[in-house]
Amino acid sequence: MGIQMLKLHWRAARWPMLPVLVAAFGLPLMAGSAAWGATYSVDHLSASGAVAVTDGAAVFGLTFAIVAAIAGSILGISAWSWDHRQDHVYALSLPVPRWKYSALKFGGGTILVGATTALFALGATTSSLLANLPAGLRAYPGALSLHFLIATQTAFALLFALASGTMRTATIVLGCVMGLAIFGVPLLDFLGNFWSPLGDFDLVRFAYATLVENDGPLSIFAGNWMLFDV
Amino acid sequence: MSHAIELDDLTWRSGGEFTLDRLSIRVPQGSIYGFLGPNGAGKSTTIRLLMGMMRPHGGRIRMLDGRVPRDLPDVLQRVGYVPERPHLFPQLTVKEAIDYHAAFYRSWDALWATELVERLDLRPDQRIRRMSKGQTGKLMILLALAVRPYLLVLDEPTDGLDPVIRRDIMTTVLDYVAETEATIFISSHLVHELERFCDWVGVVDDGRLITELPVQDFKNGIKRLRLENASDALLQRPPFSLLDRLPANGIRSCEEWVVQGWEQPHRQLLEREGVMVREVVDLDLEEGFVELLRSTRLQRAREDR
Repeated sequence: MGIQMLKLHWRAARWPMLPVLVAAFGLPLMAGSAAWGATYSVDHLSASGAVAVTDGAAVFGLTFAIVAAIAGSILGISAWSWDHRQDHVYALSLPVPRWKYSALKFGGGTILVGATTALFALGATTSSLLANLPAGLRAYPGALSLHFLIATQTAFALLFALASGTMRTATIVLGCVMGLAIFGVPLLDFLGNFWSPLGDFDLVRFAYATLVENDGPLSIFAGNWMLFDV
Repeated sequence: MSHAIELDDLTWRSGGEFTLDRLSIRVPQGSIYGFLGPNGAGKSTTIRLLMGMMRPHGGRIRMLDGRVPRDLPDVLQRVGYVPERPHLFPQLTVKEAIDYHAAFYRSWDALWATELVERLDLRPDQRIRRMSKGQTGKLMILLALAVRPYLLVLDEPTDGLDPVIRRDIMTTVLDYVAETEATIFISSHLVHELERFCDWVGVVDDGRLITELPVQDFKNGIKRLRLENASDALLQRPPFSLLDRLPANGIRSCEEWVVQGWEQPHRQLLEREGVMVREVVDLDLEEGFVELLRSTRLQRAREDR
């Protein structure tokens, strides 16, 4: 059952996932390419070489987070897309409890998250092995891959849960988020005319701080995404 | 008599309106039970409740000696199901769909599934989304049969298919039943099709069961009578139910009654009252079904007024 569910998930996700997989493998390679075969003169301060390498790698930090978010989202949405199209009739007529069916789907998605991370780790490790780092710098392919794994799994779990509901539920949730994003700031400005603390309230800043900073549920997407660091 | 399906007072509402109103059905083990009703009568809703896809608002469901939804996974292991609309994943090939389905059933008969692929003229490498409606219907039947089910639940399995494919599908199903004595619960509004092989029939309209009896009793009991000198006095306490009454006119030389519960002694009874029974015509299942529906709706309209 698990293998069939995994196959089915891959069939549903494979085309949108292909460019993401290429990116997951290629971006760590590109991130480290500045340090491949680099030489550092003895009289040159190694710090300046280190700065050049870390700057090169830092540029790609944000792209790792984006790839993780996209990969997780595609896998989360595609887990249920075929079931939604058939009104879940097939799934509900199969002789498995609903929790088990969902768990099998989630398991299949997690394996695909693992496979995406494995490609990322392969790229990061290859890049690290090819890099000639100046003194004081180290490569962290393992830690970066773990970071990527947790971020991708977080995005997958979130979208999996959202997509598992009915279209109505998903529309309500997304509608609320979009509504807050579009109308939240002007609405607070307007309400601020009647009660001044509301006018000073920065909704975007608050949402970012709650979700991404301060150990929020999406904080994994922030933080250190460096392949090379001290 | 043991029953493959027992529904007791099954009630389900859709948005406050009654869709099913205290529906009770008994499907005898080993029978081919035709579940008849016009479009929108509640046939597919009943089947979805039976398969545990929706929770009833009231009543009790038992299928193959298991409670639904409590024992659902175990019960569904022994049930082959063909839904009203194709439910398979369109990107899969025939072989992939078979492999996927097989993974969920302990009793899956892989050898027979392979035989059925050939018998039903399916190509294992063909994608489902490129298959015709008939081929998809065949594949759904294959998946339902290769489970080796004790009970087949078929929701309008041949609706919209051409006669050749309809015959292929029904022949395959009937061969299986002949071999295994499985029970079939088949819903359809194509009454004439069911007449050939059903041995029990249940008629549902507007979410209510109108009648449930062996097909032979259904057909024997409903007759069209051609009468002369028919009088209203006879209708004060009739020994049968009068479903329809068509007076004589330019086309009909004598009055016609459609009656339910007709028996041979009723002829003498009518003749004693001075009514001449010119002819007693057997109705086929479809005519009987139409007359029964018509009279039930008339009666309901009268009650509502």
